Amino acid sequence: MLPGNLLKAKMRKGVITPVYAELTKGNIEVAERLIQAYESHIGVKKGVLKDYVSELEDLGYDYRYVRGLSILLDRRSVFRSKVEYNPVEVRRRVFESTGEGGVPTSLDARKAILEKAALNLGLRIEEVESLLYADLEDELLLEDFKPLEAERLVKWYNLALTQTLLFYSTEVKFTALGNWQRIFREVKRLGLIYEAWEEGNRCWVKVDGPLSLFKLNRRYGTALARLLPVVVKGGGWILEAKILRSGFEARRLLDFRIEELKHGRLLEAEAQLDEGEAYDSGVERDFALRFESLKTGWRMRREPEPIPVGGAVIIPDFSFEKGDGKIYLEVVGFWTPEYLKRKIEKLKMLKGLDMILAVDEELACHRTDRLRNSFDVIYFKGKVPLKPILAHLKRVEEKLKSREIREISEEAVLENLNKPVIGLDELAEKIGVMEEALKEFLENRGIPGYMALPGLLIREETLEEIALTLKQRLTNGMLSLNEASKIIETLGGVKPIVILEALGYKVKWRGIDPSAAEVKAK
Amino acid sequence: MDRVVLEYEGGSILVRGGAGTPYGRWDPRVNAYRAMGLHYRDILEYLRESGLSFDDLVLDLPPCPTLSCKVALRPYQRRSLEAWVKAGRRGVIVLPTGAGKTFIALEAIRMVGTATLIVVPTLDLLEQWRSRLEGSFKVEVGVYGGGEEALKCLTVATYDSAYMKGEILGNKFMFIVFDEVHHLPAPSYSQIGEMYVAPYRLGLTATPEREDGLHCELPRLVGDIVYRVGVDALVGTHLAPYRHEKVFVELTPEEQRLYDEQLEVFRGYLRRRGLTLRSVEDFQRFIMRSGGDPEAREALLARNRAVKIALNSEAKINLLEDLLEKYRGEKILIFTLHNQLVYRISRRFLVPAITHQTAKDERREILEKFRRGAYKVIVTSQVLDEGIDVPDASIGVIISGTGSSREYIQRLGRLLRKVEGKEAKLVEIVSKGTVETRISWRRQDKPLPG
Repeated sequence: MLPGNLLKAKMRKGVITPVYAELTKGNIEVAERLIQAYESHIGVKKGVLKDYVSELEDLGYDYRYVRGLSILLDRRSVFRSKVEYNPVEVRRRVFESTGEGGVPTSLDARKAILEKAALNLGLRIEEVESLLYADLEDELLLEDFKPLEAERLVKWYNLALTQTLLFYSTEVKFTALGNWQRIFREVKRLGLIYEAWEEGNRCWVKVDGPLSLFKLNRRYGTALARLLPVVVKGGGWILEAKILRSGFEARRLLDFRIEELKHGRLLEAEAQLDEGEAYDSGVERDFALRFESLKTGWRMRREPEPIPVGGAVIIPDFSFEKGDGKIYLEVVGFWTPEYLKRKIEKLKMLKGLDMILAVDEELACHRTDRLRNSFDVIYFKGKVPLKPILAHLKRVEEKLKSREIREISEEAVLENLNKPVIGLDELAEKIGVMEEALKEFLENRGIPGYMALPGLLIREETLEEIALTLKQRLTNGMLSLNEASKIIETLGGVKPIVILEALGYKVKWRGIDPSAAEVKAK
Repeated sequence: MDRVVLEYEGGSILVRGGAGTPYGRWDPRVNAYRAMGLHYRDILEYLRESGLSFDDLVLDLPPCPTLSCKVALRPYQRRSLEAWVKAGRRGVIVLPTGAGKTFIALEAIRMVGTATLIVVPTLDLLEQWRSRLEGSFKVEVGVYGGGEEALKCLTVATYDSAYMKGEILGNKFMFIVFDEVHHLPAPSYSQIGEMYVAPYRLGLTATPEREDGLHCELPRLVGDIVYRVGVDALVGTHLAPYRHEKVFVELTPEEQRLYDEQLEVFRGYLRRRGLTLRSVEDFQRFIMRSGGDPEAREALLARNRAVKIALNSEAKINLLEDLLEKYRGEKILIFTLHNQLVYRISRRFLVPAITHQTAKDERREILEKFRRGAYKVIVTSQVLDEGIDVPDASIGVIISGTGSSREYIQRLGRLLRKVEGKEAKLVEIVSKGTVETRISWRRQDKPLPG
């Protein structure tokens, strides 16, 4: 955030927009010069550095831009007083001497006082004079400076400029693609209140504070501004705010909107985020690794988008998706029975939401009996167990399968059959069902004129044609797997080995080379 | 219906259990009625009168020892306190600076005898209240402000800290004392009055009126003015009489030439643009303009240079030299709004300086030594502006003050300590022929840049 007087913004028709520093050669050059100035002023007084900065202001660059950059660079700097003598002690001696001898109105009297203090301190007069206020801000030395690329500084400036505008905001509304756990943790930490809802397939969140209920309130501006970096980090963001400006005539409420598509290239949060805050629970990471190592066919996502429930949100830790099926898993940290009860009540409001709660027994805030509940609550110690979760996924899969089997019809299959041979995975995806469901349907019902083989569906005519061609070829002598595959694929077939086996051939391997494998009749 | 539960959240009272209460508004975000902390007392009264049973989880008071202290009040102090009690332990007491408002507050704290917050405008007052409270009640005192954050039964906070920490401090006190209460109605600070639930409130000031008219908010935030005594009524009996002198100095010819040159840049710009600056608003508009218009910025810089020339005039330093000679041996406070000038004077006359950059410990040490007489002169910028306890300074020197009427009174007040046989003097040093630059910041509380 920058001081309010450095805010550059345009107002038009009730809309306010910060005047961003585009990534032009000129702007980057100013940033470059400032960074160099800080680097070359290490060991020099802050006052000297700031004088140099104000000279740049006079070169025709916008002073608000120059000063803004300089304030950001100060945050990457360490200023320190580097004198061996404590100036406070020097002052004390000098002022005490004045107290004893009386205020020196003449310059001679002044010198006499300094001499006395110098003698006391074991210093020379000139040293006393220069030490007297060596700890004032302008006298501090630039001890260290962490440089950054000029372009990143410009982007950081734009972010800070946006934050400065948000400082005057009464409420902020946004959506993002990720980083939700961090965002909501931040909302809570900053003492803000949010409302969440779904709009256009995305989760939107409006944030303000408890007192916003009573009047337009800029009290939360600083907190709302602090949210910006974490929202921006979420990617795919859109942010809208109401900005309250106290103008000359009256207070006006202005609209403000930015989105990643248009402004993303100009803003960067990285330069100011302290990564130390990044949070990843070991319990969750460990679970994710173990789950991924099993090939379940379920697609796992960490920190999926939040689910709005009656204005609030639930932020699950994981989602598992397969076909139409979606299951959430939340690992519950510190908890009380009341907390769990409230949580479950909230979850019940969402009909059709399938959520597993994994509750760490060691993190219970009170000793407590387990809650008996229809909800799937898994208690664990230390590690989130895979078994009950896999069992849950399996149950869902079975249920989904039997429902889908009922939904599949001969027409649906025929509609999507546009070639003589098709893999079941491809066909299942076209129909929009799980492969297992399609397989079971084909086993039970069959499609006239087609034959179901393991993993594929083939037109009977095509199969006959392949059988015939292979038979003819075999009469001419030995047939390698390579050759057989070529024949099958030319006729539109896939998975040659499956087809060969279905036709009563077997493959005799010699080593792993398919050109050396021989196809023989059983 | 569920049992009614009152909770505190971020400066507001949540009324759960579906009961509408006075000042409550339905908050769909949390499915409960919500009211400002200010209305805690009203809500309690309402619920008690309607005979509803309820759980009150609002207050979270720090533990309190028994609070006892001995304060001997003067008759008018006693009367003002009685008026406050009669008004339901709410309201504002108006007394001139130096009339012992602190004693009244100490006695009020003793009477209430529970967790109390004292809100003060400056770090000096923070220190002063801390040592007063510690000395009177013999308890450890909490402090919010100047880098400290400690909560105790008796806690002192600056207006800034009380405002910023409103969310967490709002339900920690039964009683809140606003020192220099005329600061409270400012748009941001007024939220202190709204967020804190403390049912007992006391405001103290010499000058409740504000030029922006916002003092009409005081009855809502603290209570009505319950007692008022002007300076005139106390001068001669409880306060020392004082004399005010104005001394004009001329710029040196070289200074005058530079001054006129710079000022002409500024005025030329105004003429070309047909601008007149008659009010603070005019001036702010001009400053806003200088953000986008390089010519306006140059005009502003020129004006600031002119102010600086007038302010730093050698003639003023020379005059100050004469004054220091004339009043040698007396305790003298020198004021100026400009830090640079403070340090210049400090270096020239080798006297201690206090500005916003002065560390707390050093500030305390300087004031203590001044009190004892080890230091006879202090030069300072605005930070000492209000009510700071400098018991027996007899001479004040203002270099280029802002002319604000309130500031004027408060600064006088600092000198108005009754000392045997002494007449306090306030000397104002003004540059001649520099009136033009004085347009428009007459009413501002803050110094203009430059």
